[in-house]
Amino acid sequence: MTLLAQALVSGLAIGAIYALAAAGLGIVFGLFGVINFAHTQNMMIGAVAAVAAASLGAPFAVALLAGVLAAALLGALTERLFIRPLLSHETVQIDTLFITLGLAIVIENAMLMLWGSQPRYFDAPLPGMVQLGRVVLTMDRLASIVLALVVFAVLHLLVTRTRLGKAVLATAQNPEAARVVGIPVTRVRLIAFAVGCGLAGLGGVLWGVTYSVSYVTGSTFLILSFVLVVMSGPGNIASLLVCSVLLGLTESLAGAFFDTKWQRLAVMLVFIAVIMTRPQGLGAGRFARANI
Amino acid sequence: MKAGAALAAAALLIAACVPFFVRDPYALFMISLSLVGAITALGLNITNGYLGILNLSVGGQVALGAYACAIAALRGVPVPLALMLATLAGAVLAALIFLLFARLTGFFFGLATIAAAEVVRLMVRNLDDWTNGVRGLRGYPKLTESPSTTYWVLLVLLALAIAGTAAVVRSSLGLRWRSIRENASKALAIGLPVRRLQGAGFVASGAVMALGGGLLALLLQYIEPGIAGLNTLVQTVLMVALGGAGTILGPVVGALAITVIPEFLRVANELRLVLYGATLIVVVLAIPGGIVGALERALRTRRRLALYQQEKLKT
Repeated sequence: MTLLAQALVSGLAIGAIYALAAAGLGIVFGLFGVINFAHTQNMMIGAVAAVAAASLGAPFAVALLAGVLAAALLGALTERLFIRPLLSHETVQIDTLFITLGLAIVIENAMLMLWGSQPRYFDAPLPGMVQLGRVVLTMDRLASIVLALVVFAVLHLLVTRTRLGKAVLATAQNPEAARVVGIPVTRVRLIAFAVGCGLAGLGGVLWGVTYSVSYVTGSTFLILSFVLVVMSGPGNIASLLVCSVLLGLTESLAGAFFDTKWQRLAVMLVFIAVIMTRPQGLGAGRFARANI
Repeated sequence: MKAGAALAAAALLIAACVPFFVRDPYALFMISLSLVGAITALGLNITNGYLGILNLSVGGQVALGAYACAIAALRGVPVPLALMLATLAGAVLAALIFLLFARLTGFFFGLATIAAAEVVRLMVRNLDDWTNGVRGLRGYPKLTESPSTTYWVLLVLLALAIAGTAAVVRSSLGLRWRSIRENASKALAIGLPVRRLQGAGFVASGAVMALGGGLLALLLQYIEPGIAGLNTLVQTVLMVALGGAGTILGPVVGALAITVIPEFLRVANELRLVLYGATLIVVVLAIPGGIVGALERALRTRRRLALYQQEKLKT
């Protein structure tokens, strides 16, 4: 019983990071109709920047912010240099997929050359734990869950309550019409892209705090974030949250009750089962109205 | 057509003489490696080039073929039979992917295929008894004992793969594939069995890529689960895109270029992948049809220009 409760709690923490990893990918697909293969490299860059800042003596909050900003900056550059020029191509989806695949490989291997293959660790910025009965929740995992909840709540408010949010929704629905009514579509897209990548950076930092940071941190999440976008139905953040928690729980339950080496396979099997029964994604039905 | 056949025979003859001129065993090994890469890229070109299906399962197919071949060879299966087994395994995996993800539309199908590659990677990593896990497999028989003979065997296989591709592409089947690529709903409307044609192409593609994987294992004499990862995907995608997707010779040109040019430039191994990624970026931005595609376009323009001038002379 304790084992189950413990696994559920860890699964929530993993799911929170998955959600942060994939949210930006989903947002970008909703707005541009393209997939950024280099998206999870923003996690790695964010985590690396934060580790670097922390090792220079910056307090954790500052390091976290540095990580998020670094990832958002990389995202903005990606959009400006590699996505925007291709939007007029007839085969924009494949072209952007391939160009960002190239970018992902460049970023990862450049980091390998500059930084080495050794994993780095944060110096326990969030020590301590919370005890709920016999279930133990370490502070860093609690922070992952809480921060993810806060961030997605803010995102939800941003989209539903602000002019920028309305502009984002309008651009996602019909970019031409949005342009006609005076929405600066190009700038809206850039901002949304950067915000999505910043979220990934946050996820990367939280992952690094809980586990470790290395040049492969991004690739670890790549396929998972693809899977989440396909599984949740693109451009639907509510369903993405549900799917992230589902996969996080799958991973942690499989680890607790079978063998840690089969965790990822269990996740993939859940994905395939969902896709076979609901090819339009989980989000296309009940959660469909909670767009973006 | 006759000129084309003569040209092909001449190219084959020149290629067959390579082991007499390239004395350095490492150089011959690298050229052999590019032949294997070309076979894999030809497989990928069937789906990504001719059928217009996005297929990102390359790593999975190559790894499955490599492991199937190596495991069979380790257990005493003759090498040619092991290669056939690898090819068959690839066909089965492709059929499985196609059926499991059958209801996903276009782009999402492509995204999901990368999950299939991940499943293969996890399987070969975890089934230690068969695959020796992350330590990898070695000590299985080679394709042939002599590097030159190995090169010739690979060359013959590649020539067969090119001839096969050319035959299919020029047949009515190839025409139907391209019509699906250009407009799938129109193809369906004129009565083509789109799903079945796509499925056949996808399975053929998987089989050829797994054959490439089997040959890769025999050539490298060491395989590990990382084969199923991103690097294999980016290399093969780059071969097809750089050479020219949807052209018969494009993948071959691409494979030769990305294997031989970095060697020639004496690029350090870590830099090689950075170079691949950067080249992919440049190709997408600057040479959308790839090398062969650009050449074909240039040739066509020249021919039209010549025709136009002839017409003008007549009047």
